[in-house]
Amino acid sequence: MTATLALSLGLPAAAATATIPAVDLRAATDGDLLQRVGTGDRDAFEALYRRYARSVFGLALRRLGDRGIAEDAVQEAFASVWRSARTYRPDRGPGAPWLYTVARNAIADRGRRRPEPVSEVPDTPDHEPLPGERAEAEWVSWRVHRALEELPFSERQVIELAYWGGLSQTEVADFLGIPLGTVKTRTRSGLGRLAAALEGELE
Amino acid sequence: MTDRPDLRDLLPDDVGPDELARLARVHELLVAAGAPAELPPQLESAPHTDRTGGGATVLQLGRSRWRTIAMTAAAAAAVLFGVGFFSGWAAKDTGFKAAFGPVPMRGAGATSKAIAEIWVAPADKALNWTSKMKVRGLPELGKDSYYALYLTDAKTGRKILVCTAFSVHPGVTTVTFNFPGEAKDRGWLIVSETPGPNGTEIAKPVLWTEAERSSGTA
Repeated sequence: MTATLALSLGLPAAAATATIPAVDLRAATDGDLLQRVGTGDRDAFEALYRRYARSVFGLALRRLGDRGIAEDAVQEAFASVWRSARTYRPDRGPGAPWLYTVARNAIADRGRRRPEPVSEVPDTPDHEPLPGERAEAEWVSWRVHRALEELPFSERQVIELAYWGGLSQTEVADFLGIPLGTVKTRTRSGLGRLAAALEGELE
Repeated sequence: MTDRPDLRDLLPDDVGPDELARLARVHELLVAAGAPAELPPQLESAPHTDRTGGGATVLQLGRSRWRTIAMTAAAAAAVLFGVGFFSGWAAKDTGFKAAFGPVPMRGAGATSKAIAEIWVAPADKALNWTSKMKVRGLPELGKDSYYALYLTDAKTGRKILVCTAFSVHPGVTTVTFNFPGEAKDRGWLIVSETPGPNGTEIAKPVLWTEAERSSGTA
């Protein structure tokens, strides 16, 4: 795979590497990648995009509700990441929340540029979540989906099929052609990894 | 999926109460988070970047260009040759030994709940790659309509060749096909082909491979 191969090639011996040591980009933390993006490192930007494009798209879809506009928002969000990565300071916190904030702001900007729909005053109570609740829900989704991305594929696959694929465990086993016990073992292992990754959310 | 799976049904019987309580909290988070968004093919690659002077700019493709790329298509998916090797098509398919896979395919919109997976056997001396695909959730098409599976260039999304045409039935449909030649940087695209006016055919992308989704280990 091109991107994977590119990532495994390491970093060019550019001036920036004098202060930021070369690392395997796939193993690099979000903060490491952001620092590299701040120096104009295209490979690091690609790696960060691969990690977060799906999460950013999900956030944009939730916020904007329109796939086309959400696609534009993803590009704008990453444009914003590219432009502002130099301002990231690792001593102020890890990369994920920083990236989430930048993406959320870019998506909000994109939303504000949409034409206002003509709407009537609703005559029923508004059951939409409050802004704070919505922000909390979005952050949790972001964290959960990111943690899912980090699972081994075989575990992520059975979890996604069970939770969102509409399949029972027996159907998952049938679809994948593996024993039911293996499906359940992978599910258990995957949920266990998620529990470890999401420790902060579980308290 | 709107139905909430029962956690107890998802797990082996020997999970103890402490572990069950821990996993139940993850379960609640998964239910609350909802399904992750599926990246459309046009977002598989990062935007092009350029750095001029002291400031950085991102050269974005206009929406129309993205749409064109999406329609031609397909799938800026990377394929996974060389990574994530996985042995084992279903045990019951004893005549087929996969060299790698599964390569998942997902759709969007009307086909967002459909799924397909491809397994590829080792190539023969002439570079024929015998492959199998399982597909579930695509709607059955009407008369004179069918699905076509294309091999695509993962870098450009361009269709390279048609691997096979098929129809589906309820449940899991298994399709065997072959593709020749280079296997590196390839993806797949399924389109529905239905008769249009004046003898034309309307082709609509329904499922495509996605970058990175199969790069994990089995």
